Amino acid sequence: MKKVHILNYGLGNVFSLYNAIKYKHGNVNLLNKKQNFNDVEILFIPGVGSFNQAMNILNRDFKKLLIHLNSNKIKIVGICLGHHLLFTEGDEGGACSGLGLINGKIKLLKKRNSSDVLPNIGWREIKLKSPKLSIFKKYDKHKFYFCHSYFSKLKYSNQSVFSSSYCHNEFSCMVYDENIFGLQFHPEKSREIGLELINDIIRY
Amino acid sequence: MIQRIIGRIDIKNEFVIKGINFEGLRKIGDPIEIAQKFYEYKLDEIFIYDAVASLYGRNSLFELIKKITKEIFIPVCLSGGIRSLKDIERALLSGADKVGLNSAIVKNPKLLKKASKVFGLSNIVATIEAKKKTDTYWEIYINNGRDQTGISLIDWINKVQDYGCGEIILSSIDRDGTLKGFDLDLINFVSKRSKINVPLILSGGCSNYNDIINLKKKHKSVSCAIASALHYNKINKKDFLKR
Repeated sequence: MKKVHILNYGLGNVFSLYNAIKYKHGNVNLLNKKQNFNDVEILFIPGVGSFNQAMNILNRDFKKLLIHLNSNKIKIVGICLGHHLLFTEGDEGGACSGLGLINGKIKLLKKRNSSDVLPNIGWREIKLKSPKLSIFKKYDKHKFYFCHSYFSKLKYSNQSVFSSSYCHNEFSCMVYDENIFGLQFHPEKSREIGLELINDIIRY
Repeated sequence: MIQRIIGRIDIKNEFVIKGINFEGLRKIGDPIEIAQKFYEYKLDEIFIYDAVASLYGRNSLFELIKKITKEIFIPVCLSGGIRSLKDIERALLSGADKVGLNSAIVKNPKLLKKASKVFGLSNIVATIEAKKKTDTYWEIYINNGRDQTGISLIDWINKVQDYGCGEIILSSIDRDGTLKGFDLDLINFVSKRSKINVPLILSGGCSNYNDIINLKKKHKSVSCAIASALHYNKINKKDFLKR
């Protein structure tokens, strides 16, 4: 069984993700700063707070870990803000460099009508963009729970596995490249189908 | 579809309770069983509210939240008696995804500003208890609909959005637990008199599934929270399942 860790880098709903992985996969641990990371086989990066704040913590406490993961092509799964951090740059609270594992920028969703509200909170359908990962086809047109104001604008659109839309903004909601997965929605809060998706990502 | 249906669980001393107009609290059952029932009904989220925490100056639901969220994989918001950044951190580390704030931010609005900055806007919910005073004036209350504040609802809605919150849960004290339908008076007043920039959830009064449909027809983007209609089985499970 693969050793799954969740990056515990601050004040997240870490426990939710912990419960969700534990329920299906069984084995999961939190990874705290200064902890030995040599046995990490898959790392989930959850997220809460702002892009800037999160990057400051990652750069301060987890720089060696992230270099180790990337140079050994260890699987990283970013969720919501954790997914944003994978990108080149964010503009939440001023421009800020991200981890640069996926090419692209994080931008604020645009309101089109005066009655539009942000954040985008609720259950939205996801649409398959790239058929190359056949294992994920079964999630096409299913609903997952979203809660966000920012979205990822990819440089290479073929890295997008699923897209979703809100107030006429269409955006990528799942990215994949080599050892990197990023999800805009919360599979850990999306009932059984979300748990299944987490498990498929772990096994992929 | 924008509208969400949120199951509301009011708790006092480890029991789910429900009052009428926030008074005369009646025992309903076990929180874990009722949360499980809401999950099986395919509700979109669960809102858990400690009805007496603010009044008694305590909060005791962290252990309960841990148990509830172990096998329920939808968003859970915890509210009632959350008074500090430390409390919010504990709630999130206990399995809650969002935290609702009312009494504490009425007394100290800066807490709201700090909380949404530290934990991210979308994890902080402003919970508001409102009561009609005249046709043009609604007032907000604290401590489970018990103490009036002298603050106008419209001023407060503007302020919480200004200070930063990801959502507003607006409870009608007049309709709470009455099963007389949602307070359309209230929601009409709010949509006319204020600019709502964040998702709004209306709570109080829902008596059947038609109330939900009617609310959606008139206020497309407004979500709702329901409790009594679920506790007293006024809505069929299959109405929720067919959504």
